[in-house]
Amino acid sequence: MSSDVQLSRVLAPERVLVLHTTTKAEALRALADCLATAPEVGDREALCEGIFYREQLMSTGIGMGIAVPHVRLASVSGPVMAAGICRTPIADYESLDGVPVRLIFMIAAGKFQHVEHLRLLSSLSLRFKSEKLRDALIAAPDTLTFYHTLIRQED
Amino acid sequence: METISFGITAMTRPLETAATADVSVHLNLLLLLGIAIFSGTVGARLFQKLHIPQVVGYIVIGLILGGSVLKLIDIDLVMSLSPLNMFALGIIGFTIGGELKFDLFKRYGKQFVIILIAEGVSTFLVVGALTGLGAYLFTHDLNQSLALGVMLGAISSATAPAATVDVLWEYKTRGILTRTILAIVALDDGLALLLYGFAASLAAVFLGSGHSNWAVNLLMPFWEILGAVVLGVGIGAILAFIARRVQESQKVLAFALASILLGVGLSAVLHVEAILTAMTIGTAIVNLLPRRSKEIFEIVAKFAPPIYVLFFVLVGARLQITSVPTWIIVLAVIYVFGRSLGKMSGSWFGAYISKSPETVRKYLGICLFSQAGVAVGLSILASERFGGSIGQTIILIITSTTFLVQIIGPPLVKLGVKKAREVGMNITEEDLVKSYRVSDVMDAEPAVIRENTPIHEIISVFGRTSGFYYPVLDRNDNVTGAITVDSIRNTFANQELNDWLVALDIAEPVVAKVTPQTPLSEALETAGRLDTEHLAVVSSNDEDKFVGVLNCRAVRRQLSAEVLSRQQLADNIHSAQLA
Repeated sequence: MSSDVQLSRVLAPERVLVLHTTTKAEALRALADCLATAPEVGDREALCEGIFYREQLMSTGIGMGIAVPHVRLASVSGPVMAAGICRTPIADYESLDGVPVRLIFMIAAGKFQHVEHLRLLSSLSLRFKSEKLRDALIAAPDTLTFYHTLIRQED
Repeated sequence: METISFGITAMTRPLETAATADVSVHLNLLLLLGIAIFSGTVGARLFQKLHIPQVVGYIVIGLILGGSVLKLIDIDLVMSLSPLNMFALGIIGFTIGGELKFDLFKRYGKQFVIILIAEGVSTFLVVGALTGLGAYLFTHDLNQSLALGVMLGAISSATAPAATVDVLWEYKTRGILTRTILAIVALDDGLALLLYGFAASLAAVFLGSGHSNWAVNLLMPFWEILGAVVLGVGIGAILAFIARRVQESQKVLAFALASILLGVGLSAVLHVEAILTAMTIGTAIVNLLPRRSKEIFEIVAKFAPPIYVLFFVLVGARLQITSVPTWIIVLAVIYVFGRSLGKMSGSWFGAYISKSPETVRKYLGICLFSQAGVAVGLSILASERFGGSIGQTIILIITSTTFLVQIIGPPLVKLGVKKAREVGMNITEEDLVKSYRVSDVMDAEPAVIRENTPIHEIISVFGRTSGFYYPVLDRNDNVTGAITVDSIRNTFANQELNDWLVALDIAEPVVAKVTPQTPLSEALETAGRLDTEHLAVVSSNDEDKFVGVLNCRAVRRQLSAEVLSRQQLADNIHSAQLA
């Protein structure tokens, strides 16, 4: 399975947030609200519920200060993403390596898009192996810079 | 005792149709055929509910539609449809012929021939003696009585293959009794023809109207039988040659039906026995193409039901059970009694002499009571040959007794094969599918995966177990997805995700769920439509509570094994009986 997902097709500049929250729950809720503005998302409540349900099964804090909360729902028509820069690292995210979370990438996909969903998760995971990119994103002064840094990476 | 002449007009009244002609004028032929097939099928369904073989239903509906009750189908119409009847008999003959494999003959040939001669000749003698005596007591005309006796005796030896075989098919029987019944009903029409030929010659002498040429009288039956066999083998060989080169089922069906029609049609032209010709075509095909013939017989069987229904409905419609003189009723009763006695004692004796298994000795006789097409046909032939009163008497007795034995015959076949424990032994996978529900064949304890199971553990489950499909359950045991080999394969390309993904993330959605109560046929149809081998089974249509998994491939294997096991059981019962 190829991991060459174009992030520009799933992330729009207006779905990048600077988060000033300090807890996982607040951060997830804020990002879910933002993601729900995407035309692909049909049911905000279901999105929120799905994201929190998935977190109960296992934390999506994948380490290195990054979290990728994700869900597949019948009410979502296609892969879509929102991103959050946490100005205050979130310590209660229970990441795999215990490092507080600085960047959150929330993903939603259609119920039957399990292949596309995995491809998007894999694509992100591979990108964040680059410490340079992680640092650049954390240091981004505003959402637009963040967006272009992320998108430029794929060029 | 009052002397009754053979020439009374009352005997011919039931065959008159003038009174019914007006009704049938208003119903065109196609409409009547539609009514006959539709109501025959409905009637059969009602009789099946009463555990009476469906063929009785067809005949009773025919009787109701026919001259005896509603008069919708008159005797002229029945006669005008005689080519269709011959076609139906041809298909029936072809199918019965398909049961006669040479290895079966090699194994049981001698046994079958002994039983056949014993039951046929015994019936001929008993019926001939009793009806001849009965007729003499009423008429005091020795020659007429002797002629009537030998004719009725010969005709009585025929057993209706269609009604008998229909019961065997309906109840999916398999075993030595079934095989013997099939062989006897397939062969005894030939014997009946032979006996009829001799009897007709003898009767002609008694009546003083014998053919001037005795040799013709004696040789005709041989010609009818041998000619049919030669014709059938020839057409069967041509059909086998074609079927080897034509793969499409539909074309093979067309060729098979055309062969049957050619066989029956040429038989009429050549004055040979049409049903025997069709039987020989079937026998030739099954022995020349042992593997391919299975498909040929299956597609012909799928095509045949409406024709069978119509055939039996018309048999019923032809029966005239009103206005029968008392002495004819007495003779008819004697005929039925004598025929039953002859069939039972002859079968028992033949089976005893040939050292057949006990089930054959005990139950074969009661399975040979049915009488229909051939007997009625021979009675019509007799009426044409002798004309006048004796011919009409034969028709009347055969027609009225046909009704009676057609009503009691099929239930007795059912009783016989049931007693012999052969019912349900010839079941197919399709029959089992129709009779099962999902709960009968589902895996109620498959390995399952919880939603929060990490990928490395899932891989370990795949390693430990042999499944290809694992339902994913939430904490309430509801099915939320399924993990298949494909799901796992997707993760191989993305191993960086293995540490933080769980079953829920990689599970494929469940596209269709069934409940334990879902008919298996419906479940398999759903699986086929969705191109999936597995279906999750949930507690009800309103809940997703996990109950089990339906593994379609495993179900097919299980059904095949069950079919094989039932067939082996039937064959073992037979072996044990032989021992």
